[in-house]
Amino acid sequence: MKRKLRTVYAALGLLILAAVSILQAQQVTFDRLLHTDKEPQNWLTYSGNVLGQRYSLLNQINTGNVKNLELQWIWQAKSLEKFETTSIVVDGILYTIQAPTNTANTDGNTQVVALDAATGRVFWRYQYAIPQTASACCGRVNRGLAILGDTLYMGTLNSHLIAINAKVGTLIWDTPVNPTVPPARNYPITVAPLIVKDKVIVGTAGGDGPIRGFLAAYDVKTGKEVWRFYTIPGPGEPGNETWSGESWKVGGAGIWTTGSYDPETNLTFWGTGNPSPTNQAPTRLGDNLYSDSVVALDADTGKLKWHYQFTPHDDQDYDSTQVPVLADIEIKGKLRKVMMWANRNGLMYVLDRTTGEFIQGKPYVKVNWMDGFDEKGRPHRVPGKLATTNGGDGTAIMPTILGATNWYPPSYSPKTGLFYVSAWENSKTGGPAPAGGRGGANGTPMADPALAPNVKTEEEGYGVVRAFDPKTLDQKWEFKMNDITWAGVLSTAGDVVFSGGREGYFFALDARNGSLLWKIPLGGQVNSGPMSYSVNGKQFVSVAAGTSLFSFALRN
Amino acid sequence: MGTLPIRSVILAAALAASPLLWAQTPPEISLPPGDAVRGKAVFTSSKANCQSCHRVQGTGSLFGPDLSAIGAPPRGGGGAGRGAAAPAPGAAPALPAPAANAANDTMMRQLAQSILDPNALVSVQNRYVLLTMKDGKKISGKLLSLDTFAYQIFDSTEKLANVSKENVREATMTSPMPSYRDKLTTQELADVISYLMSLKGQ
Repeated sequence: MKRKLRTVYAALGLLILAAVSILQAQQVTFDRLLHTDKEPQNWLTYSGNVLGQRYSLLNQINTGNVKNLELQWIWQAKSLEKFETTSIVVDGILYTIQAPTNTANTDGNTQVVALDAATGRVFWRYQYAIPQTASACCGRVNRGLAILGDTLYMGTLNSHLIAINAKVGTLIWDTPVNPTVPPARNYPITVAPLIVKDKVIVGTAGGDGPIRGFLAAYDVKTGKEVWRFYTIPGPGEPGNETWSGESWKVGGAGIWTTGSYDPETNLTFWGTGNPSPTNQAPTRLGDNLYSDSVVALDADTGKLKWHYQFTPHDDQDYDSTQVPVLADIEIKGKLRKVMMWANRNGLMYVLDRTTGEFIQGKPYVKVNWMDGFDEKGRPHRVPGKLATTNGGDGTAIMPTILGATNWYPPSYSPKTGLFYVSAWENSKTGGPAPAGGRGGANGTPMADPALAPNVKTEEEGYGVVRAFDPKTLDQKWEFKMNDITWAGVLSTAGDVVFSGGREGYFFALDARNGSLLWKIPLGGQVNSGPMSYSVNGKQFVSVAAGTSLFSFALRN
Repeated sequence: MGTLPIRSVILAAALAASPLLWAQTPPEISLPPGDAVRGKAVFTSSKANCQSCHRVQGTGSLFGPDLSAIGAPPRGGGGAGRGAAAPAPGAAPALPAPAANAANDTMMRQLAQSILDPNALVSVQNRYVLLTMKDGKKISGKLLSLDTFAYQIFDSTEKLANVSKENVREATMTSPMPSYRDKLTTQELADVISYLMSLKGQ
């Protein structure tokens, strides 16, 4: 009898173990986030992996058959805002975000949706009310979610970080990230959070206004703040002396593009925004640390390990809010742990990500505000190439204040070893009247969901996708568009690079030489970064354009 | 596959990407007093043939810019904010009288320049493209938009056309308007300008 019981207990134990392991398999553990290469069918973070590479190991769609891509489904958002979200996919479920609606008399909703990743059918919707007063400088946008366990994390335009049950779409916790803020200051969250271990890290935008930017980490279970790092040092802290007077209190340096994480050093890297006020630089004399910088923080404590400032004392709005892209690359015969960075200021950098050492830098579009680096990587400014409010001579400054690139994500393919960037060429601010002004490349406005006519000449600015060898920063190829672009780049193990632009085309290029392999007009501007996933062995490529999300796969 | 570059033969066009067209200062020109009635006669004559491209109050071709309100006073303001497109017509208040007189003079000089040297300054809204096709055919059209793969134009036969770049050998951004420097007398030019200045729209 005892023996029988033991057998029953053993069987029960096995069953429980099996059930637990199945449940755990469904859970997105941090280990899974660290090893996304083991499950290329999923897209578990904003950039596809913690290294920020936006590279898919899937190769069912490749250079030979990409011409056979076919639309599988569309999901239409009930919003007139730009669709900048990168969706995430977990085991056949796609989670994405509808930007807050913006109706005349009512508060808008941010909507998180869970879709069947193969068909686009809706499982659940979760709505979060956003007051009309909450907005970012340049659109009521949201760039994405993070997931850990069964919980989705999202920042909101009214400065909250919320946790949502990924199975049923219900709220778990809701933490205001800046409860002491005076109402006049605007701290919107537009960035997709980053999970590191048991913490969810976010920062806030709003750095075009009088804010003091910060990054903060919250306990994934409780939503309680664990650490906070101000991107502008306070009195007594190193770097505070780089702000004249009281300017540090309102110096901007917001965070609005997702950072990356290096598990070897436990450092998390984030790019910071422009110093504020942008074009009144004399009110904030000094280098204005840590604006326009990358900061490397200990992920457990938020303590600064190193920083590198791309544009000291910026007066051109050259936010360094780009995704830090990490890889190990052989440079001059030595394997280096690097960070690649195509900056809004027109320069491309390779830094040592363990120390912050400047390894090399070079313009990747036409640049005229600087003409070289010192040995530590500080740019040498060209006299006169400043805003006129800062003593500039009024001549055109390249690139435009809207940037050589902007927030839209680049990509690195470990397979080709190339770094892919979408950018604007020939863009400028100022110069002979009538100037492009705040509109960017001679009148090109900020991104918009809808298609708009373009009659710019090549001299007036155009969009490119360019491939660079990070060993030398030499350009390997380019794909030229007529209009500029606000679309990110995805590279895949099928040697395909996907991107789009303001013209509304979504296209596939050969990752090795840039030749056009396929294109489709999507009827709206592509203002997002593509991503890829697979369901039951079928690879999909997904991108948002206009106000909708499109998913493609090979024709059956 | 790359873009087919548009050769801008108009240096000024590269600077004209703005609603601030009237902020440009055209060259000084000395003209006798004009007569709008005589000017209308010149405008509608077969000699000038303006209506073959331009429409005024419902008469004439749609190919060129509609001139029905070409003499309307310019509006002030219109600085482009972040993300601002061209300011809506009437978005800014009318200029005060002294500024309006100066603007009037600028407008007259502008019109003279446009008639004598049509390519000197072309507003973004009025860019024209001459497409030389691979089979030698030429297509002239108002450039409505262009993208990586095609031109969207309003052609000289008043048709909307999407022209694939695959079929285009060369594209030149140039105004199809001829210069009237040797076609009109100075008096006729002054009269036409007076007529145009009298066109204030509805």
